[in-house]
Amino acid sequence: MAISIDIDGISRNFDGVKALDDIQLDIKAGEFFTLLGSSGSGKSTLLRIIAGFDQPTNGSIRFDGKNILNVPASKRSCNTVFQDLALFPHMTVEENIGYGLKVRKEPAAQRQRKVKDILELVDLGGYGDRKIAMMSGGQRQRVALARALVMEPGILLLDEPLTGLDERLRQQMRDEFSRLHKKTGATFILVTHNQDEALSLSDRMAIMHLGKLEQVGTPDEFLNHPQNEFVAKFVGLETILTPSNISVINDNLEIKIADQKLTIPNTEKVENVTHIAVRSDRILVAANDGNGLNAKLISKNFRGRTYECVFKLSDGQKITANIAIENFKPEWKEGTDLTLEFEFGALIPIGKTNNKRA
Amino acid sequence: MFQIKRGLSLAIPAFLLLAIVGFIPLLIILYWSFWAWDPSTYWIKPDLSFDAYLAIGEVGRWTVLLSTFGKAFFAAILCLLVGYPAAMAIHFVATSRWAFILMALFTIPFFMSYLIRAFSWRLVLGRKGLINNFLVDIGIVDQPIDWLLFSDFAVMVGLVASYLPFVIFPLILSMQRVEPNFIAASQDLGASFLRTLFTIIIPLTKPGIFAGFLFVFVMSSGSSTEVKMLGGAGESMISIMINDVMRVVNFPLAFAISGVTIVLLLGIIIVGNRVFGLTKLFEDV
Repeated sequence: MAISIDIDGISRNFDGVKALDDIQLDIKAGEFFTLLGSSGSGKSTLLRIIAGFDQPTNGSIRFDGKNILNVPASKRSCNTVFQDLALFPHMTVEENIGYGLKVRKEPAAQRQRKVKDILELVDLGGYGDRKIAMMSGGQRQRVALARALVMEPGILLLDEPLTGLDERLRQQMRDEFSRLHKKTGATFILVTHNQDEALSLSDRMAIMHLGKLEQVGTPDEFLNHPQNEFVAKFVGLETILTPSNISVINDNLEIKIADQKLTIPNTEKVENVTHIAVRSDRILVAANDGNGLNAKLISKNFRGRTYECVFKLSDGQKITANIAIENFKPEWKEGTDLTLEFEFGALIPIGKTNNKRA
Repeated sequence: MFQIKRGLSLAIPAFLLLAIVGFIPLLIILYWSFWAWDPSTYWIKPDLSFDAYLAIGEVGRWTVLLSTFGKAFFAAILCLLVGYPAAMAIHFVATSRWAFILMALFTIPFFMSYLIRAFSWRLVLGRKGLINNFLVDIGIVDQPIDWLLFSDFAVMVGLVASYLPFVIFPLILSMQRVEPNFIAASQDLGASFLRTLFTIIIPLTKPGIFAGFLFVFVMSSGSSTEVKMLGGAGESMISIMINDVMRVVNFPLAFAISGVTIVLLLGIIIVGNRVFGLTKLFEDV
């Protein structure tokens, strides 16, 4: 049974340093929720507090409405896949997976059946009597996942489980997570510093920075309506422009940048816009006559299917654009003056939206 | 391979030293233990006799052997029982600063001569010692307790106090193999602290437990001071018995006792290594 989590005003101080600062977050039952942030953002601390390995300085946490802060880790209905996996080296794969069931005093026959089933589920059928040291990195990952899942937890906590795997395995495990999430129906909480993981897996996610939540929402909200520069940069919007003037006209924003005017549709009614993020994959380049922003090409790098081009505006601000190679004309050289045209959704106003979703 | 061979050559000086001052005298001892001893002249002469080994079988000799191993075993177990929680506190609980202070505290008594250390227990355990004075003063007992000093109890106190650090250090070394997350994972899967201790921490630290046990057991087996200074009148240990035999120049018997002791200890080490995997102490996970 999936369990919902209410995190209510959680703070955690380490010797006066605020690792978590008044975190307010509701995670719905059965949701795949991701905490995204760089190291030191407090995401792992929050996970440890949910799991029961650490106590907050302030605030409370409720599972399905019940306060669980005075419940020890061993009695909480959540299980963790640790970053370093923490598989017991003196036990076989089977013993590792069956450990929790044994502690729970489940009868041997039932235990063996569950272990066998879960080994099949994570594609490790027949590996039960292997030593942990004999398993490869990806296999260990799946053993750790099986050890937590066999407990049929209401909440599964994943602490950066994909770090240390190569790209192919990472993709494979990512698909595995999403499959297991659908299959088990449990609430999944993933902690990661990888935005691709977060954006591709989550139902909802939060970006953490210096112990605070910067933004909470669905992955596409992060891409389409980042609430501040930090969030925009974290989800991969590298170009952030500072217009010299912004005015709201009906449902549009009119901005002035490098003495040129641009109109951006503002259907989401973003308020207090200060910056504009630019999606590098939605920019078209035209010869110097179209209506868009005039800019000078200052560098281009071949990236396989695209050229990563950096343009400079007359006021010195830079814009990065990924141009498909078939659209890139050979006569464009460093120093050529060109016009950048923005497709729908290329320019994203940064600021709080009115219809606040949390 | 070449690198490994070159590396092994670094061990040559230590090996030579051991061979010259260790193995060669040992072989001489083994050889002499088969010589004959004439009790009327106190003279020893080359022979191939098993008299010395048969003499160990006499009453009063093999009992000393047994009681020595018994005391050593008991001291080693006591050291483990006291040292294991201490090692856990140092490794898992203490900050690095406190860990340093605690380890220093366990080492400082070794700055003293072992004679003084053993003697100081007389001042604590004697009829007019600290403990008896205190007990009489607060009225728990009328008369000072006699069995505190010159008893097996006092010998045990002396042995445990002397050799405690020798279990703590190998235990701390072996606890490096227990990642903090192993303990967290065990709790996460529902295990209580005791369950985690017995199914995760102790199995993973078996090599350290055995190493510590062996240190204390071997050193206690060879000790004489604690028994001489703190033991009762009839108490003996192997080393005291050897000393007595040497006084009447019965070298073959002394060497035979030594030989038997060494073989028994080697047996314990080999069996223990099979069971506990001592060499794992020096492996990463």
